[in-house]
Amino acid sequence: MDRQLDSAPFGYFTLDDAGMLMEVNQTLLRLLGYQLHEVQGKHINLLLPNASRSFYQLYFFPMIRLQNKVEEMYFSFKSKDGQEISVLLNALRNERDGKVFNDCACLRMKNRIEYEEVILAAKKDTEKRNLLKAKQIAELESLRIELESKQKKLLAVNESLLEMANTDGLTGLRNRHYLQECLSSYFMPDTEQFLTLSFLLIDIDYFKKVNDTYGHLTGDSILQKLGNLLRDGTRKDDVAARYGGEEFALVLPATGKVEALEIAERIRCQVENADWNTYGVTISIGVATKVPGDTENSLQSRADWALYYSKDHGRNRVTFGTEE
Amino acid sequence: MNQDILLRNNVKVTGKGEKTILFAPGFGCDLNVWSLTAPYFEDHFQVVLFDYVGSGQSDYQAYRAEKYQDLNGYAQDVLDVCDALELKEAIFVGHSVGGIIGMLAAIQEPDLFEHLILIGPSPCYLNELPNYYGGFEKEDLEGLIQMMDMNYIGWANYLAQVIMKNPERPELSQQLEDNFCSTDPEVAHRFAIATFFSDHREDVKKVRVPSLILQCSDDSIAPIEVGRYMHRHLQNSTLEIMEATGHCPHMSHPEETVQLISHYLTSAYKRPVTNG
Repeated sequence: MDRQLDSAPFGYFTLDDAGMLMEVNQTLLRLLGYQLHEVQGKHINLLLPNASRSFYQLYFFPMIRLQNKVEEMYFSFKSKDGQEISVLLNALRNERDGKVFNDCACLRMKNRIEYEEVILAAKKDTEKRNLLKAKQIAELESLRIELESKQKKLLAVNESLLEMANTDGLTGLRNRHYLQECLSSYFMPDTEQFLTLSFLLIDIDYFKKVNDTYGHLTGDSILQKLGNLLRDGTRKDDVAARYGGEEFALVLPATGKVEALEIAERIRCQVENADWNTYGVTISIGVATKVPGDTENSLQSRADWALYYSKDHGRNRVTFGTEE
Repeated sequence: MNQDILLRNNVKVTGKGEKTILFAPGFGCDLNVWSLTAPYFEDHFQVVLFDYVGSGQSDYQAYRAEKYQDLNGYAQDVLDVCDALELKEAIFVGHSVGGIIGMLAAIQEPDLFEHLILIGPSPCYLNELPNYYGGFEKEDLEGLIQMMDMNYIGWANYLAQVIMKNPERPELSQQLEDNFCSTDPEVAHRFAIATFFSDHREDVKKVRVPSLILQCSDDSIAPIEVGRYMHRHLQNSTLEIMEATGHCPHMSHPEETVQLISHYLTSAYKRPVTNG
């Protein structure tokens, strides 16, 4: 070997493709504590700790064989007395006189390896923290999802409670409480003058007699049938409610006197001719339409008056409550 | 879908022939490792090369840490590639852990491969003395993974980040392409854990497909005891102890590797199988 290369300030060795050491310079021999005759012609494994033997097969050899070069590979040797010695390895695949050589140069890493180990440890630590962070974020996220679903459930429960509070249990129509709130909303100062509104009060004629003749179960069933009939006839903004006992009410927004009377008359006819109505049940209706200066009470009073007018004049009829 | 898989796994199809040979790389490298052997089969077979997701020129976006935390995720890559190419009764050649991955695929779909050719396979790297000799103690494997990590701070990690931040500098990704063993360091780290800390000894017994085991005579990664273990437990297997040493005979001794594979296939199919 060239004298300069033999004592160059870096380790130099040559391998064949089977990993046999063909040449090794004095610098590397001294570093590892071997004599040339002990290593020449031997497999490089002789100079390697176990991890490097595997690394050589997994990385070094495939790279030098297929890419013809290896650059800045971190690698370690094992000295004759068992010390692990870290180096930075470069290699080139060269052809000389028809033979292939894997020429390698290595520089010992001393201080540098310590820096790199610190960097690696810091990197691992960061990864661990990131993992922990990701886990905590995932936990928070699952808590948030749980909270959201509980909130949804609570809202649903509230909604059904509200529904129950606003609904008449027997007929499934709105109850009186809801009806009053609904009516009030049409008498708010800012909506008052603009909205046309009609109100119907409906009462079953001789209902007490029906109950006494056919029993309360039949009476309930008739209330339900009438409830269904009213509900089926409502338009989008109409509200049908059970007003009390055998009394029902309809709130008809955007509906004037003529239309309200038509609706009332239609309902009266429907009840009289309903296929479930084998009892000869009829209804009386009072109709009122909102006028300027009306309150919810005055409107209801006129409907009430009209209903009693219907009752007093033969029942099974519709009366309009005119304002005084 | 098919086209997606072919791009995702960087599938390369060459050669002419009704039968297909699928070559699966081992740990850490890409399909280029077959450049010295696969071309010899192109006259008589359709030759298929591919990269696992997370290696070589595969689509790194398709990588899911959870899926590839063990070798079954990689076996799914093999199944996907075969499915995309509608392969049936093909020949599978796998290097090292690639062989184990092929075995797992063959257990799931026994009709997929007619023959498995396993180069330096090991079902378990860790020793379990006195019952099993895998060649490694836990410290050896940890040392190997530490060495990988040390190398990745050096270049792959750096390069991957630099490329991400410099899409306008394509020469950087060219540099990464030239480093054919480089993969994303996290991917490589997990693949190493999945490979070296796996134990597929039970799976070896489940394989029904006939196989050829190519065992190097002096292999520090898959020692000869492991080759013999594979042969004993793999039904219908043939064991060939190679003159080649090391762990990569397809790169260090391509002629012997091609010769042994073609000898096996010639007697299996009763016809010439390599070029010339």
